[in-house]
Amino acid sequence: MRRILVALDGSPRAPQVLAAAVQLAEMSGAKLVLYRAIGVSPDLRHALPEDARLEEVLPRHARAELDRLAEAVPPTLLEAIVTGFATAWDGICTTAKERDVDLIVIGSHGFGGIDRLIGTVAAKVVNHADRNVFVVRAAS
Amino acid sequence: MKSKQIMKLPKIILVPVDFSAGSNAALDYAVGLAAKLDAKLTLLNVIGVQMLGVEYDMPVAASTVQLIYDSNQQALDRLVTANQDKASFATALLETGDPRTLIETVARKLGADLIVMGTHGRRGLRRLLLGSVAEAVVRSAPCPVLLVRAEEVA
Repeated sequence: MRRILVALDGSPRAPQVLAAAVQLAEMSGAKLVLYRAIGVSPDLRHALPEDARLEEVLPRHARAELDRLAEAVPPTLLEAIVTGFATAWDGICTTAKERDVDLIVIGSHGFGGIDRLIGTVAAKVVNHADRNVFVVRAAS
Repeated sequence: MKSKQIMKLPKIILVPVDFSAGSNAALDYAVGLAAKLDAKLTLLNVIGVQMLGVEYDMPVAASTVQLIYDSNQQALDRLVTANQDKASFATALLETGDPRTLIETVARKLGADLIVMGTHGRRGLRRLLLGSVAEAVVRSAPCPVLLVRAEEVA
């Protein structure tokens, strides 16, 4: 295995997902590509002042969060940190293809309740990705 | 961060199989993994209730049901026989019901720490109808799930 894409979000579970990916990378000798999709809620556009430059602010914020998470990754295992404006599942599948990864690592929500209803990103990726997917069960 | 402790290495691996190309690819992957990690494999084949005619109120002769059972049992046995030199198998289970919930139930019962299963890369309506088992397992499984993508078949 050469390359693993780690799909991360801003949730408290992200460090666990990343830690699992680091472990898989260590075991398989693969390098990690950290990815985070940036989405803009239509409501957010209206809630912000006219001149707020979301397309600048949001990537900077996402990138800073990824950089912070990446501090836990041994430097030799880190290949790239990538952010992009996309619907999460689509961005993950597209980036996996572009970066020619062998495996996608993603967290699953899912200890019942509302998470079971809305935790659809992992399910979508599973249905749409054209490569192997490792779904990490992170405790919420 | 102590990454070593986040996931213990799997010792009990559940492999749901349906004898398709996708499921065979997943089994090959699981066999290689189990050999490397010294883990035990459990195979599970679920005979869907629709197959037995229950969902459509269609009576199915007992002999037909027996035929499905027997042929699936033989297919399961063949998979174990073909791979038992390469990895160690705990058991091969044949169950009847809805695979979307049974895989979760069996995983919990076994205390599985990894599920390895195939996905098909289906498109359109076929995905809508058939792709939902992997999706349901991902949503409900008590452990990590590795989905092995079979080579696209035209």
